[in-house]
Amino acid sequence: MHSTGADTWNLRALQKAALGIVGAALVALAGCASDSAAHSSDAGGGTPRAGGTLTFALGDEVRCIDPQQAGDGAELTAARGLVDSLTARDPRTGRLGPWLAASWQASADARSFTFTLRPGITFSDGTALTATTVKAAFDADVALGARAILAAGYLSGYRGSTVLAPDRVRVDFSRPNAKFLEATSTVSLGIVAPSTSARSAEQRCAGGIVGSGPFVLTSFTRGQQVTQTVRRGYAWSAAGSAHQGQAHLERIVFRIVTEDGVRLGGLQSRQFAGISNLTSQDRQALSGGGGTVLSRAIPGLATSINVNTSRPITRDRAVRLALASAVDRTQIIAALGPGYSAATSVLSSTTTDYTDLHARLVTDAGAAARSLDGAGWVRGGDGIRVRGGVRLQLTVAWFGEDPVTRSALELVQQQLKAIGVGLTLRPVPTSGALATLKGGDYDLVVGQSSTADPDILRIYYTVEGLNAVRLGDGPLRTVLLTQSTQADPAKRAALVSQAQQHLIGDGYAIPLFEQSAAVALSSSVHGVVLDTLARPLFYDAWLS
Amino acid sequence: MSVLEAAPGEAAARARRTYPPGLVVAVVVLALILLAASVPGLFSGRDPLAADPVHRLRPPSEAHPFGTDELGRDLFARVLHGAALSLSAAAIALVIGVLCGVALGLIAGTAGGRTDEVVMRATDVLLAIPALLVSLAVVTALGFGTVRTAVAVGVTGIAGFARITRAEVLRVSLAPYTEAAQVIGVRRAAVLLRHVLPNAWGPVFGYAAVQFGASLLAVSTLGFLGYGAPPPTPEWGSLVASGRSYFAGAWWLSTLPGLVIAATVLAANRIARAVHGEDGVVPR
Amino acid sequence: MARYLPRRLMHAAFVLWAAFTVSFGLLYLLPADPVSTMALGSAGGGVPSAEQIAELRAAYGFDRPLPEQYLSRLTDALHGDFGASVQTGQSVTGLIADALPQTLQLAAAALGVALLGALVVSLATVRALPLPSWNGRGSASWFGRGLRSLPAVGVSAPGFWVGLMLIQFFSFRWKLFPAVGNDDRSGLVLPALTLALPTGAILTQVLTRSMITVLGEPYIQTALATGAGPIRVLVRHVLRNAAIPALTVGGLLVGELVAGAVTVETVFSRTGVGRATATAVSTQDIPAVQGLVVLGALVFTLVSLALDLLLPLVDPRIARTARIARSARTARTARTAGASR
Repeated sequence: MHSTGADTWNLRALQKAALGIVGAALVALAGCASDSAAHSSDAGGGTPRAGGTLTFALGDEVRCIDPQQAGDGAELTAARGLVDSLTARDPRTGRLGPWLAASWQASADARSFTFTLRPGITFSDGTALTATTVKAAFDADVALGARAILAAGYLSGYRGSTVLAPDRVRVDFSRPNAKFLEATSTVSLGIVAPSTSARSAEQRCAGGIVGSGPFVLTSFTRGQQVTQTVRRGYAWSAAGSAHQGQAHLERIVFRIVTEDGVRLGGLQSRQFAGISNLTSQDRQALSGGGGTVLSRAIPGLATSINVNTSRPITRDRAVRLALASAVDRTQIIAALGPGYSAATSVLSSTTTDYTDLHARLVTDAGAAARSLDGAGWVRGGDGIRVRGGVRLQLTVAWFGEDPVTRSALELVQQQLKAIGVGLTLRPVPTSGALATLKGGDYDLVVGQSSTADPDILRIYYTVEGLNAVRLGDGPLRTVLLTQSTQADPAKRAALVSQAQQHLIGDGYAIPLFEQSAAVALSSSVHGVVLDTLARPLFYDAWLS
Repeated sequence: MSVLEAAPGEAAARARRTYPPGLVVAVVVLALILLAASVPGLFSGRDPLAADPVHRLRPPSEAHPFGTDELGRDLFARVLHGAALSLSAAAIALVIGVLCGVALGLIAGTAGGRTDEVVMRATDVLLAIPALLVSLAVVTALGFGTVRTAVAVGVTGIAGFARITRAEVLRVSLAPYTEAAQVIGVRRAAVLLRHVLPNAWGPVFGYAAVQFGASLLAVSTLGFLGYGAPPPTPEWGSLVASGRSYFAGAWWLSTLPGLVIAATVLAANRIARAVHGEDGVVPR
Repeated sequence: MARYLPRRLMHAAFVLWAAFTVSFGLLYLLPADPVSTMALGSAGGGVPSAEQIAELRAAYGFDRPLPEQYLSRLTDALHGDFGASVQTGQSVTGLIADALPQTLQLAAAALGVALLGALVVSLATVRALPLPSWNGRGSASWFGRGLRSLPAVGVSAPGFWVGLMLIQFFSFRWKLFPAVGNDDRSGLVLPALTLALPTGAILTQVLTRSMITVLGEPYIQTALATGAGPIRVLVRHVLRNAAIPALTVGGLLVGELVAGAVTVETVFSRTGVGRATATAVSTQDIPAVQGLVVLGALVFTLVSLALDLLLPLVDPRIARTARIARSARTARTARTAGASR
């Protein structure tokens, strides 16, 4: 029975490939390159039609529908349509444009931001958007504390908001906040109605969300389904949208389907009209046709190995650089499949202020081996080097049982073994992540993050943050602290570039790969776009 | 003790020393698996740890009888080299569950009264605590590694064996031969060992034979969560578990190691039945 | 009976308390910290400060000394308040109320299918075997032997494998059932089948073995000799006696079905107690784990009680506690009395 099944599947795959060559070419042009900008599904259709229900399968748990408390990709996707943000990033150009705020001004020291609101905006419960409601929303965000970790990060140093006029509000910080403007475009700082701001954290999580967004929450069953219906009379779309006025779709139903193998089959058998969290196998299966694939590189930290510089072996710069030279990114990418590309810096290529450092990331196992030889590390009987009775055996920790990271690390293990370095893989369950990081209980640790702003470097590599490489004071720390308060974009870019070069040049971080997020849609779905964080937007979507 | 005899055909067959074909197959299969566990290199010259990403996810072929995994490693070699670890893990889990569980069940079933109730409530508590939590606690206390994970799985299985044993003991305690022994004045321990245990053994044995496969898979779940042997060590259960995300496109990753597990369980089961004397004959 | 029931209820209460306490202890033994699990945002960009973590710990009461935490949780629990999940803030009772109906539906369906399947397969197996009771049929047919091996296969098939296979064929290819099994009846079929397989396999195994054992007893021969047909014998005598170990195992399995069906729930994207428990344990969500553990204990206690009341009904000879102990005492007393004369 199994061999019949396999033959049939393989035959089917062949047939698809044969028939879908044109489709494959289109898709390859459209979305498979990692540094491509977002592409909307323009295939056919023509004029948008109103109405219809879109069933979309999300690949992660949705435990909380509050945009402020949402931490997971799926939660952020589901909550995006319910609230609007002050500003918006155009998915195509990446430029910041108006949304709820018609215009804004930032003070020179990046401590004060004044927003002038667009007139005529109302929340779905009828209350009007005013400066007072914006102030209430931000105050409530801060009050949520650690429960709203993303919002708290964006609002760090928040001193308060001042209502200057019914349509003008000023937000003040006690220290310069260079990334605040960018942050106002995120769903984590989406503006909720005053009734929501007044609710408790649990009530908000459970579904007490009223926003001004193009969709209204009708029902939320934790871990199962989120249903949203169109907000009638919506007339304040974000800059960069394809249309004005209310959304085309009558309803969106998000279903939570965490099992990888089921989402694609559900799309192909028309149980879902769209799916997120495409794996590389999904992409491969769809490369012959069967659906539209939208793909976009995720900004933030590329998946990298961070080296604990406080440990005796890895304190040695020569050892760190030898490790870095031995890693062969090409082989890793070959193993991971479509959707992944070699990292060329600590930041992924679509992050703001990313610097291309691929010239500094050359694989040379021979040089690595020679460097270790020169440092006195002699190969032992089992192939692992020894010096002064100490084995060159390192442990690498990674979190969340992620199989992609595991595959990459198993390859790195093999590559390091070839130069005589032993690597033990230590998967750590998510519950132990913070403890492991804060305790510094590792030789090497894998880090990654998705965020548009390069301030993540400061969060990862300074003592106040995760302190991934256990560095104390020093030039890197200074650079990282300065960039977070630098209001001038050009100066900031220079500082961020310096930080990346420093991290790689001294072997503190060994970048491995960056990934693209993708969604797949059936042929009847049009107008879905991926935002700058590679998450789908449904405002312009319609069904043919 | 049993009033019945074997069916005439069976007795004759045994006199002629021919064995049922199913049993022969089972013995051969188990022998092969044990051989693979001790000398994996005998069956395949390929390195189970050699990753070759260019040839990843290839279906079974002549070069790779079980296909290749997500890193291009030969799956057949990984199955062979994982045999020893997997078999010992499942055996440890089973032995712990059987030994402790049966002992508890015997005590509860024969002692009766207060002891019985205490043991039964203890098993209730053990059953109520999620197996995952118990396993995590055991692994945290003992440390990581496949063997310790096996101990954890074994501990979670104790309650089941205790329950079944106790029920069987209760049933057997009513049998005429047990009562006869009691009345004659045979001591309790002797009654336990010579009369109760051999007769209560049946369903427990059945449960144990079937739990072998379940234990193997339970060990793999914990291994997949990071509590087992560190990668890239192959282990049957982990092979099956890691093939889960590739199921739609590369069915062989989960299916073929799974078939090997099933074959082992089946063979062990078949042999256990023959040893227990069940080929058409009612056990004594 | 009048004395038995209150005593059993007391024991049940003890089990609930013990489960609560043991899980509390185990959770605190584990190294990580529930608040830090919650506070570490996954989408990056946020590391909670020490003050924020302290604030969260205070909100959940994790900063108080252990005995105080335990006692306050216990008193709350006695009032039915298990606190709020650290992950979502939802009340634990609400969490259970969300997950329980789905779980019970699935467990009931799976148990029904499993029982039916076990009965059919074990009866067929026993009928096909060359037991002398069937008047000497000769050597066993391969069919009978094959059936004997079925349970081993059923239990070694990984749950996710069966589920995904069923989905591939019955949902994606033939479009007969939905792949996401939350809604109506049709969404229950595939998950129930998947869950019923290992359950039914174990039941079959135990039932078959006990039936074979029972078939060796003298009264069966007697019944057959007096002219009763094999089917009648099977059903009226064999099944009734062989049911006991099967019922015991069945009781264990009910608990598994309710609290341990995490794989099937995940594969079919259903909410359920098993999945909630796995998530709670891996995030060390102490209030949620404790609430779910008490639920599990409740289920096991109820099943245990039901079994202990049911078994004597099936076989009136079974006392609720061992007869060996009593007969031993009687024998000893008799001997002592005899000796003293």
